Amino acid sequence: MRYSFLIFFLIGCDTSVEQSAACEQWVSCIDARDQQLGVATNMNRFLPTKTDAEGEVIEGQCWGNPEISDLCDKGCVAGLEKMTELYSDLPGECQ
Amino acid sequence: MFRLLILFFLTPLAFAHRPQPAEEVTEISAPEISHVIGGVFTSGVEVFRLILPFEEPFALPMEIMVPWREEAHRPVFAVMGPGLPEPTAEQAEWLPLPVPEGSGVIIERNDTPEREIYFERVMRRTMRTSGSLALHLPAASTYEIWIWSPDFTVGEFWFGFGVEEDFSDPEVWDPLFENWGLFGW
Repeated sequence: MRYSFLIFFLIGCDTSVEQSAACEQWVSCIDARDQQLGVATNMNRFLPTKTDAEGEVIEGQCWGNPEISDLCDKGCVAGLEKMTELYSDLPGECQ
Repeated sequence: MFRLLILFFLTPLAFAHRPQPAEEVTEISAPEISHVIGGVFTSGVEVFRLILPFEEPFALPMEIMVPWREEAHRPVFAVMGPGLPEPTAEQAEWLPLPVPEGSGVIIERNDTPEREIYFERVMRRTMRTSGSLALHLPAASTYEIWIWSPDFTVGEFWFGFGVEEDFSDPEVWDPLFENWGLFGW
């Protein structure tokens, strides 16, 4: 019984969230844009969360808590709009 | 000491940028780490330049904030560097400085009619933001950010960028305590 309280407490403390739909599209867009430009952009923070063997977050730092995920999600929405405003030759993934 | 204790408890609970005061030219040694650059427009004609040397193409969110009471204060920012669109004649005219040779530009005009207001939990300040904007900087190169006040309004501003936090070096807190009035409650 005492452990169930601990488990509920730990679950309650886990504030991580999933990658947003806007950032999933943002990642696809930049990935396609990279192929156009022949570069490889570091966009690790926008990817789904990934940890290394020690539990350190190495990708998806955007999804650690609701506050930062909101910052990233809104950034991706605005970023996609900005891309379509700035470039006429964008890949379909950005539309 | 009280402030340090409060920060000790609050920082793990909320997202926090590394604080740094804005100078006329501010060099950011680790632009892949999230920062908040704080400054004050005292005359309204200042142009604050940030220098961000990226070792690889990079994508990150940026935003510019002011105290929530400053409804008319709308500082703007422009990102300058390789691989960005060439400025139009109208943009070049509007920018406060000439665009460097070989650089393109992205401008955030901070002109959303109703800006979001939010409470920043670590520094306990209520801010009005331009809104987060994710940008793609497609070259391993130095990018420059200009922050200015096109309507010559005066007051504080905070420019935030990036996501990854790193407070492993205790010295990164020094600018906060040395500029408490700018960053703190």
